Amino acid sequence: MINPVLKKELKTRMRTWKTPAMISLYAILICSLFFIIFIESFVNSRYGVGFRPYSVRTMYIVITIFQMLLIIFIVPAITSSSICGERERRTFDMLVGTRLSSFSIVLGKLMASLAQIVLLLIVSIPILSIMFLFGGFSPGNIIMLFLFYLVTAIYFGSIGIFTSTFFRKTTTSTIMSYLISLFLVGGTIIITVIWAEFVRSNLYGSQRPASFYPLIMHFNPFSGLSSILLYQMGENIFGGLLYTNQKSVALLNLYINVGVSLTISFILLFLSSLKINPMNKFGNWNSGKKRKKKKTKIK
Amino acid sequence: MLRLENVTKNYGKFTAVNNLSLQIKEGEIFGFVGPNGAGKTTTLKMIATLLKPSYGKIYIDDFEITSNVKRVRGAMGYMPDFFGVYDNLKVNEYLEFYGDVAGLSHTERDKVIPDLLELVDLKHKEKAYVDSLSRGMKQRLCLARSLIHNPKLLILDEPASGMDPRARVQMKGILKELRRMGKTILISSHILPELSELCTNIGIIEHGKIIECGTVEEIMKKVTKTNVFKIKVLDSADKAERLLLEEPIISDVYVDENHIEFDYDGEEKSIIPIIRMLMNNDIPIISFNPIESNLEEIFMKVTKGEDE
Ligand SMILES: Nc1ncnc2c1ncn2[C@@H]1O[C@H](COP(=O)(O)OP(=O)(O)OP(=O)(O)O)[C@@H](O)[C@H]1O
Ligand SMILES: [Mg+2]
Repeated sequence: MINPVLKKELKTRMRTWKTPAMISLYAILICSLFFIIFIESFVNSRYGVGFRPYSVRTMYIVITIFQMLLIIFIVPAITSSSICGERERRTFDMLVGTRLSSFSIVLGKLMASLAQIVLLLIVSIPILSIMFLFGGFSPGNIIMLFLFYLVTAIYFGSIGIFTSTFFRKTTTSTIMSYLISLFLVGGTIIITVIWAEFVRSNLYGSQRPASFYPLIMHFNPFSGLSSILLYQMGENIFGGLLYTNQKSVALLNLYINVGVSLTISFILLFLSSLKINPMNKFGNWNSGKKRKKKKTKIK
Repeated sequence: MLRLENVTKNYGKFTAVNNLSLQIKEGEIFGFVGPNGAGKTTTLKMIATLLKPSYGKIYIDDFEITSNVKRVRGAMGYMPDFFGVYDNLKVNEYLEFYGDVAGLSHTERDKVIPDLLELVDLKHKEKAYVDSLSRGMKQRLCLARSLIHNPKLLILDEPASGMDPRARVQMKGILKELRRMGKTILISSHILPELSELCTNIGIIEHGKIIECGTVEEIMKKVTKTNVFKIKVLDSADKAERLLLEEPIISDVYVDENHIEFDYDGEEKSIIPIIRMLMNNDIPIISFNPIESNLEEIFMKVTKGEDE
């Protein structure tokens, strides 16, 4: 049977203006980007108007990265209120007090958000498939990419759900989930750049390590994306910053990234389900330092 | 049916429920009364498996609740004191959702929802959005929600709070119907006169402790030592007063035109010879009845009334 939380969330979310607004905005952004690149590389090109396979590749890479950024930006917004929203609306007790397991509740919330992301991905299919016209792409490329987007959505969705169970207010939860996302995407790259500087300054002459890929980058979804793009387009989006001499398993970094994302997601979802379960074995965390109730009553 | 053994709940250093023991038998309607902050909600939440007791054990049907959470939740329906509803959800969908969540099959669910809507008189609102309902309607809907899996035990936290008199009467009617259906009900309320009519048993709680507990009659007896009786006569009130004052068990007589009130010691049946004596003396009695001190008075007497 379909998860009841998922079913209800889908019903209520589709009835708000937010979902169609989000989808439209998403489509508009992707389309605009597409046309900007199209005009830049085909029409305004100094080689004159015309088709060049190289530009199509650039277009694919830019749109892919852009879509990834959009997903990373949207997912915390739609997940970080999932549990605090229930608390704030005062429906929380009636939900956790049911026979549904805490993990099912958390999973239902995550799946509802994933469903919205899937919608966004479906909307972008026509745009991406324009590139099929130019050749050089297979549907397999897109499927692989979309599956990875989904993994990333699960990863960041779990972070949003986690913050929404550990913070009581939606605003705090949203801010925290964006901070964590920002760290995973930007922070890890900054650390890598500093680390690269450090490595270089400690080397004599112009020798360069055969492979440079700090572990922390495996927490960054762009690690997996760059692995996909390297595989599909032969292009390293990190340029000289990150490189490996790993040739035997072409998508090794993608596999590591997927593994890391799914493991962290599972841990976060599990912790969240423990947190919302009033009967969990580890006692009620921070039940002592809950805010004093302030309530007005009509009598 | 429900048993609490030395249940304590601490919030940090503050003790909200203090070593509370309680037993409720099948079919009882237990009224849980106490001033604000007495620990009613905390106790009910612990029974509803929404809070873990700091100490002590709670049993429902002899199952310890923290280790039989699923079973217990299936046997119990809980209605919180304050609650909200989801946006963009219709009344029938709301009940369907909670039916699904309770693990009902679609056929079971679709069979009970019309009955529940009938019971709480919301049939005409079936297709309305829940957030558009009035407060009283939401409360009735929430009651229907807590009944969706046909629980034997109902835990209702101030189900009539914030309702207007008409809605309260309606809620009381629903609760009576549930009593007829044989549900065991634990109901907390501050509307005491309503409880006396509805409940079989009463527990009075203050500062996290039960200070009085028993059947409604027992509680009344415990708290009021003398009984008050009221008669109405057509005339000869003065003569009646004189006659009454001669009786040894009567301590006080108040006369207000044709209404006579008197206090007497002893059991209820000791009033019989007094009435016979008045009749023999040609006092034209047109009505007589005992005055039951209501729960409100008892409550005020028993609790010290400090609002923590
Ligand atoms: N989460 C909490 N953290 C700290 N103290 C709490 C918490 N919940 C309740 N309390 C305290 O516990 C005491 C009992 O509260 P409770 O809500 O059980 O009272 P109540 O009898 O239901 O009162 P009311 O008639 O106002 O509903 C109060 O003093 C309250 O301040
Ligand atoms: Mg209360």
